[in-house]
Amino acid sequence: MDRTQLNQKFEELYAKKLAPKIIPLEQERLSASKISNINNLLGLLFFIGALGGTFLFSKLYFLLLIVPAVIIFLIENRRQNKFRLKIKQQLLMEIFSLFGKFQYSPDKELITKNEIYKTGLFPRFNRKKDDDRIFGNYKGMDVVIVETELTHSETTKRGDSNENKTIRDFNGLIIKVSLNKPYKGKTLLYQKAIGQKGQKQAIKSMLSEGLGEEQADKIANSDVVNAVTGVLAFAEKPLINRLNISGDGLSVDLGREIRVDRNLKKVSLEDPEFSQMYDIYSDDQVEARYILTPTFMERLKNIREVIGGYHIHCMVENQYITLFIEIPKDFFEIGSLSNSINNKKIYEGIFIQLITIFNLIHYFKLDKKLGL
Amino acid sequence: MEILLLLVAIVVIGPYFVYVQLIKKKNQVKQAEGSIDVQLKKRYDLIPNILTIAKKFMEHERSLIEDITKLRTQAATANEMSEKIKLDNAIKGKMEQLMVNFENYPQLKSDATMVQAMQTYAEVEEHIAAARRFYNSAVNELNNAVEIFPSSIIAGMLNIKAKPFFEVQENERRPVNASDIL
Repeated sequence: MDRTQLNQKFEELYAKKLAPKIIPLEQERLSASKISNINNLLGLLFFIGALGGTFLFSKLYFLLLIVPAVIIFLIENRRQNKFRLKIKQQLLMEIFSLFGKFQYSPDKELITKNEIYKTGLFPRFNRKKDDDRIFGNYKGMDVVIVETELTHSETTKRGDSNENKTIRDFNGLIIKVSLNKPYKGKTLLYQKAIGQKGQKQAIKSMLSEGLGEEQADKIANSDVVNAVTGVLAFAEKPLINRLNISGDGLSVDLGREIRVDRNLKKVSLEDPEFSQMYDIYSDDQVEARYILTPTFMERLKNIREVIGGYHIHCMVENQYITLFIEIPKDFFEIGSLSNSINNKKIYEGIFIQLITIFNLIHYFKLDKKLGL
Repeated sequence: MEILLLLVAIVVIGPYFVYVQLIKKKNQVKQAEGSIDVQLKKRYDLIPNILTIAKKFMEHERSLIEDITKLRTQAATANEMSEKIKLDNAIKGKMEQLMVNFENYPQLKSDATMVQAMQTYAEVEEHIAAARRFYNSAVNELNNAVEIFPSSIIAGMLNIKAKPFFEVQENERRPVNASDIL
């Protein structure tokens, strides 16, 4: 389906299906937000009372008043989440219906912690927080989209005390698509560098949504961006990328960035530019090259023309290709109890995000049976 | 004393390390040759099926079909890699010619068995291309080791020689997709 056709369909969908749903939901939001304001105020009063009572009278006040304050905040948080989920299930899924049959999965993990851990891409993470989980079928292909954050804690010694820090290992989208090609192996692509060209493409792609293509291109090619991306590209070089500059001075991080399965062997490909950007590991040298055709490599090198993002890793296994796209952006956000949901621009924004995601599937020709 | 030990270590461990690398590279080429054989066998197994169906419809292409059959028999018994490469290039060329000629036989283009066979053929072609790239990558590493000093000396002692690349003929650089034809 081309862009004009899709735009037409979106306009039709908005007028016929989205708008009639938005109006009652907005009314529900307005009345719910009044209760929210009361709850928040009550919670705050209890909290202030607990603190004030402790300072002025006795610690007993703290125990007596903090409990209702916490209960009120918990109830309010639950109400907020419930509303957020409701609008995602009702409105977001309507936009998804333009592309295929999709469902929102609030409870079931679609890509498990263990599944991600087993890829070896993020060996240090121990916490996973999914923001959105969507699954469905697009042109006969199973598609799973998960917006997630992977983190781990690190304890550093500062003088006599220990300091706990949360380190983010990944923040972005995980897109898993079934392959139309018969594929028997397991191949991992780890992006170690994106280079100056990739950095500029990422900047352009991220800016173009808000500023338009022309303006974004101008900024991405400006002297300042050229200088900054040049420095960033230099910092990606082996050894240099292991140097850490912090308050404690300069240190070298010798921890392994990825933990590759023992069965996977390094694959050296003929494209030197691609080899500088990616480390490839596979359990079958022929199957790896079957997937990583010169055209596929070329597309992966220029993927930022389609989707903004930083490191983009890839795992091909069990007839599925999974892309890990690091992207500092919140996807599929319609609104909350405190923000109006009756604004067409929100839905247009999400529609553009979806076009970008589904374009990616076309970009890699994952919907084709032959010749990736 | 320490310098002497260091010298001994360099003299013994250095060549041993080079020797290990050379053998690994030689074995990698053997493994790649094996991969090519597996993929070529898949193609040779598939060709008779395609030809049997083609024979029914393509009366005027008898000589081309016979040529392919002959080449296939020769290729199946070839031992040397250079010979296999030569025969494979010839088969690939003839098969492409046959596929182009399919255009003249609409009945053949709509035959379900033929469509499926050609799809499998295209898949095998892609696997052959992948195996060929693996082979060339392994040969490139081996040839570098065989030709560059100091490993060239040990390679000479072990009689390890440079291998030929699996070159693609100029007319074959253009990818042929069977599904485009059918």
